Amino acid sequence: MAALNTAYPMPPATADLATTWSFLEEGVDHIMTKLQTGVSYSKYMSLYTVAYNYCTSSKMHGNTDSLGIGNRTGANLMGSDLYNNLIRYFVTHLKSLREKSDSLQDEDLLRYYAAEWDRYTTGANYINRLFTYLNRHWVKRERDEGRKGVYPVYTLALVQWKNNLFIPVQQKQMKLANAILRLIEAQRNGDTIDQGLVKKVVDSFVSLGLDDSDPNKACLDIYKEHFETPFIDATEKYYKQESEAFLAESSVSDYLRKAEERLKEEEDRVERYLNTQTRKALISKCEHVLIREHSQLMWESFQSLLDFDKDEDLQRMYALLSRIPEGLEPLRKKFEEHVKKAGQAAVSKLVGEAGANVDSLDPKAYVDALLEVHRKNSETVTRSFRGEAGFVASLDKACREFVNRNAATGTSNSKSPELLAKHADLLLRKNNKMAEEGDLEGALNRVMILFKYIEDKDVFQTFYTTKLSKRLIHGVSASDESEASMISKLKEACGFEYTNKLQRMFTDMSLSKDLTDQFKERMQQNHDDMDISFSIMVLGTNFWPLNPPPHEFVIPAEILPTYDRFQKYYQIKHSGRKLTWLWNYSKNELRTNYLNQKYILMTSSFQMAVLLQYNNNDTLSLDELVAATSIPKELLTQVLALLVKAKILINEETDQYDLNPNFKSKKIRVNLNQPIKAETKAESTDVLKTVDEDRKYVIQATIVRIMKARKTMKHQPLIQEVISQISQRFAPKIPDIKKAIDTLLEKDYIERVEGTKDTFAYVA
Amino acid sequence: MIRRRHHSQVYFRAPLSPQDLPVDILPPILAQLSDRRDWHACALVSRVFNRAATPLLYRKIDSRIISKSVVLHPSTTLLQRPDLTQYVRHATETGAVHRGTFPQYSNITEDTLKALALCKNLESITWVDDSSTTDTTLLSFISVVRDLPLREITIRTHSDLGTTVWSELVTLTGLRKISIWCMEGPPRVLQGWSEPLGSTLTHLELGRCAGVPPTILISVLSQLPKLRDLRLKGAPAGSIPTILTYLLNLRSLDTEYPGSYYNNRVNRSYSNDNLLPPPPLPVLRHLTVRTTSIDSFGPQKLWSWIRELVPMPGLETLKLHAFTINAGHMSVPRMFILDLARIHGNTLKHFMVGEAQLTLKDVECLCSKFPNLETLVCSVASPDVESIVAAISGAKHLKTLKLQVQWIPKYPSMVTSTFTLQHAEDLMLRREGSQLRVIAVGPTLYTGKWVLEEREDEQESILKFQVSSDVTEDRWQT
Amino acid sequence: MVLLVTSDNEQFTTEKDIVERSVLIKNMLEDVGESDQPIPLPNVSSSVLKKVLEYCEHHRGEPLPTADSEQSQDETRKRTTDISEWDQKFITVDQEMLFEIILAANYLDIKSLLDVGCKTVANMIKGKTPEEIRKLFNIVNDFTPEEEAQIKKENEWAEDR
Repeated sequence: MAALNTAYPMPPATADLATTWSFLEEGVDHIMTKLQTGVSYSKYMSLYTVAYNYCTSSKMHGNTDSLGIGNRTGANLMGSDLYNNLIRYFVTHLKSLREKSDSLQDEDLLRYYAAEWDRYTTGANYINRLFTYLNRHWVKRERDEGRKGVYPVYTLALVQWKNNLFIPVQQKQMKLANAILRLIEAQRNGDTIDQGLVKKVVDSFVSLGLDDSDPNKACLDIYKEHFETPFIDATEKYYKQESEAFLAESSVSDYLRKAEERLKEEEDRVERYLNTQTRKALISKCEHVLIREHSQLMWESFQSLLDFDKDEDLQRMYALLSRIPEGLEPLRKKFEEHVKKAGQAAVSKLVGEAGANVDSLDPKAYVDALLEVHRKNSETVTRSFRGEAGFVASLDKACREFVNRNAATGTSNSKSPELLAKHADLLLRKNNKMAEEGDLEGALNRVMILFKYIEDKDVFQTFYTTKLSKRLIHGVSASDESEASMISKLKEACGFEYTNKLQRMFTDMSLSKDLTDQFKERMQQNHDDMDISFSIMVLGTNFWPLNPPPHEFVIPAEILPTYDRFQKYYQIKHSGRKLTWLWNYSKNELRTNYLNQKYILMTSSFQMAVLLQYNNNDTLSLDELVAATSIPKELLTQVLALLVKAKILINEETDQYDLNPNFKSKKIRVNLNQPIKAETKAESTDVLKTVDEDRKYVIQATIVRIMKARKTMKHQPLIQEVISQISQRFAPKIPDIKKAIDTLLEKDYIERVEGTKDTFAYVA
Repeated sequence: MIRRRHHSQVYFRAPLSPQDLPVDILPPILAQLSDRRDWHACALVSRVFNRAATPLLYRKIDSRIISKSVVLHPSTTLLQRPDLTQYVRHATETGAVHRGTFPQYSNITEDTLKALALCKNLESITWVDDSSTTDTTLLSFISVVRDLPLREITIRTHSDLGTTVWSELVTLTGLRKISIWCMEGPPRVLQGWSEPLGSTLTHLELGRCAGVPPTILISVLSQLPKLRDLRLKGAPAGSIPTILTYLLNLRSLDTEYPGSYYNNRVNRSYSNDNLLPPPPLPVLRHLTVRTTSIDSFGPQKLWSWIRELVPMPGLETLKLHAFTINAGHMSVPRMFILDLARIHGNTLKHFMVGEAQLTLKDVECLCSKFPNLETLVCSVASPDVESIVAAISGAKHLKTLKLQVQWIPKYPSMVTSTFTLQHAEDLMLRREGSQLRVIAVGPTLYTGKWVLEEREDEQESILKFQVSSDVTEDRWQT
Repeated sequence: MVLLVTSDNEQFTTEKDIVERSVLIKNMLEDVGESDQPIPLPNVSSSVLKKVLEYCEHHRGEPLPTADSEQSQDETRKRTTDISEWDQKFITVDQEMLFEIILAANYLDIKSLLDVGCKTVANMIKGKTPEEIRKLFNIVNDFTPEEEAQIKKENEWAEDR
């Protein structure tokens, strides 16, 4: 083959190794040392061609005389000739590079190393392509046949760099790695360094890793051994020393800021010039040295950060400690204790102000005090602890504690629900300021916040029902919307059962309104003239916490026709239903015509019954009044006392009551219907009695339900199960459960399993 | 785009002779061969050829029983020439060789194990044993290959492997391909093995799944998310859609459809609940269904079951092995072809339904609805060649056409049509750009190609189209 | 446009994406950079280059094989029947030109063309005896009779199947 046209002179295709290599070596050296001066197409092609020609100089007919069957033939020798000469070239080339590096230190060494690495790898890429033919045939065959230590030319160049430059330099006290580490330390100390340089050198470490079985696969062994491990060690040493020194003269707050900055810096460092695989090892080492090692101190200073509301510091401490395992647990415990104490302190203060009189505690003040503690700490959880679930749980636990047990409650579990229900009642009444401010809904939501923490929800329920019934029958509810809204909140929190009664009460109210209207209409149709205006509420016995008067009552003749008419009307409409008249809850209005000025007296039914007696008499004795009304004497004296106090009647002689002909009042409408003292006192105790009755029933019903499902059960698990099922409504007391079990044994709902002491069976 | 700028008359080189070719190009040439006899011949040509052919010859080794007393096994050579062991990638061992029935080769098992242990590049092993007694020879082979970079294992035996062998087998890890066909014993479907194989296994053949509860089959296969190829024999057809929901990388599926499928089908959970969208299925490229049929419309619901397996576009090959028990062919319904075309119209290249019958109208429909159709194998009834030509005229990319033709005489008096070599050539060159090169009609296979015809009078040779015919064995009838 | 100069000093002007089917030229253009310099091809004659460029032009735009696809090809080796019709017609040339094309494809590093050539030669080898193969390649049997006997014995297990 002739090559007359090539401008570049090259050896003939049949040239021997010496001629071939001397031509190739000149080219290789040109590319490795002065590539910047350029390579022409013809030079490139001639180098490729000469290498190709030499590799293919072994022909089919050929020169295999001295070789045995299957032994290496010419082509193998040709390939290995070139390959070995390349190795020899790289070794010599690298030796001279290494010698130049001997006198260099630190940054100078790194600059030299990086510059030569750039030049070397660029050149080696070139060489690799010039010797593509060698790679494609000889190298491939050798590797296919499993020969170790034969690589594609570029990989070969890297292996040679590693063996002849990198390792020898590193063997001198890790010259390269230490130079990098010193630069990094300088940067940590605040100096500006050439990050690009560090990156280049570090990247070369990565490139030098080699997976023997697959040269294309990244392998980090060199990087890890020669850089990552010493780097992590140096990092640990640096931050151990720094953090200890810093804490010796600075506050924990300052340290938190410092640690946060340092961690950020190290994250950035990985991003800027390290291999991403280092992140995990580096960051976890930093976390250990900067946080774990000082976590005790952080935990200890947590309380004072809380006490002084150091939000930013709290945020930082949270962020740092959340990075190490178990770092937050002590904070959560402390926080829980902190909130609990804050809640208890707030109530104690309030009780102190109220002169230690728990009964006169203002429900609003009490609820506001609890809410304020919750709000403040809830904000802390959201803001400083990022709403983390563990802290939310601590907050809830603490709130549950101080809401149910504090200076106001003493040992009573019913005090908090009672006060909360009273507060809700005040909110929902007409003329409440909250409602005017338009924040009634908000106030109700806040009630629900505390409601969530109330343990004895049944106590709240009973108080709430009683209060609601009063609001409804006295018509003092602020608005139906707000009532409905509150009920739906309760329903959402406790389910349909819990609010069933409340909803039925509303239904009764609206049915009663319709009933009154229909009744009036009917009376008009019948021309049954009504000189008394009349309205009625028909309330379901099971849903309303109201009882009829426990005594006889003589219905005054003046209202008897109306009473009879309605009674008849209702019996026709709903035959079979029994009406029980709640005189003790009824209201009346009387017009005076015995005085110059006409007044309207607003009275209770009993007052009305008394006053109507004076239509025919001016003076009546107590006994006469008892006989006329059937109101028991004790109650009647109280009824009379109010009338006397209002100066409607005059009581000058014992048990003698005269109509006051000179009664005067500034108002035309005179409200005489004041609650009798005995009634208010009785209310709370009544409610609690109801709750106790209900609970007995609930506990028994729960036991029966459980036993029906399980058939047999031991004593202890049964009690556990009862507690877990009921605790949504109230915290049952174990003696109560035991009592309930005894009751059920007596009633033969359950029985003891024979031969056992503590196993019960369900009796079907 | 070539433009010659200036012309030179000088020719600088002597004409090339093949003996002047560089040795380097011999390995890539010989690597294109596939028949061992060719490599065997090449190894005897010359030293250079020997050097290039030997690694290829030793890539796959197996043994051969010549007579009751003579067996040829490569282990002798491998032990004498350990340098050859590096070439071995695949070994096939036959149980009969290792049963001690060859008095002259008393050490043969021991030698084979020794030789195999030297094959440091062994990737694949096949064990074949048609004896009807269970033995544990395989056990020692497993312990040898355990230390080799084995990626594939194929086992074909008549008898059961037995618990001992099986419990050893399932400790092998890192495998990419497993193929197990044991005709007897309890069906073994990789219980306990599939989990460690989950990260590597891409190819699986299970020769016996019949009787395995679908829940077990599903739970085993659900551990193998990397599977690309799956062949199951005897798996309940009703469990296949559920299995597919776990194998989203599956590209090729070969399974059975028993005639009785819908009588005792397992209701899949999602088919009951129309509110939920069906779980995603893999996009199968190749689907092979093996079924038997009694009536001529195929097992009931076969067609809708097939469509259910490939709801998304992408199917390239549909193969149906429909063995008919009685005479009379199974027919492919036209609706099925149309439904298939709606989804796979642009992707389907190979439609091979074997003995199943299509009408010429169906063929015409198929050829127009699947514009990329390259292979069509089916059975037709036709009065003459022209009607076949007309039916396939729509298939512009058809390369292979294999038909079982039942010639219908146009008139009772007419002689039955026959398909000739000339017919084949006409069909292949029926128009400019026709790619049809392989035609089989009945047992005769016609292959067409362009060859260079030497002319005695001139130096220049010319291209000519040549068709050769060959009688293939009819696999279906043996 | 790229200017190519053959061993017999003919110049060919062709487009970059055609000539870059040669990995050699593609690499060189990447490494050296593009310029007006002619690219000498000292191992390729004009008659062969013409043929090679015809092939490259037909296959322009097709993806070049990557290391990956080469490996998978190794797994499921493509059979000789896989030569496309155009390629088959293209490679249907006299034996000398066939070997010239193979050599050029090998030199210029055009994998797909090398494959087509190798498949064609493999087809010629198929089914032949050693002696017929020797005749095909015009080479002599350089084994001693003892060596030949030894090879036969060693490979006996693979004989005639």
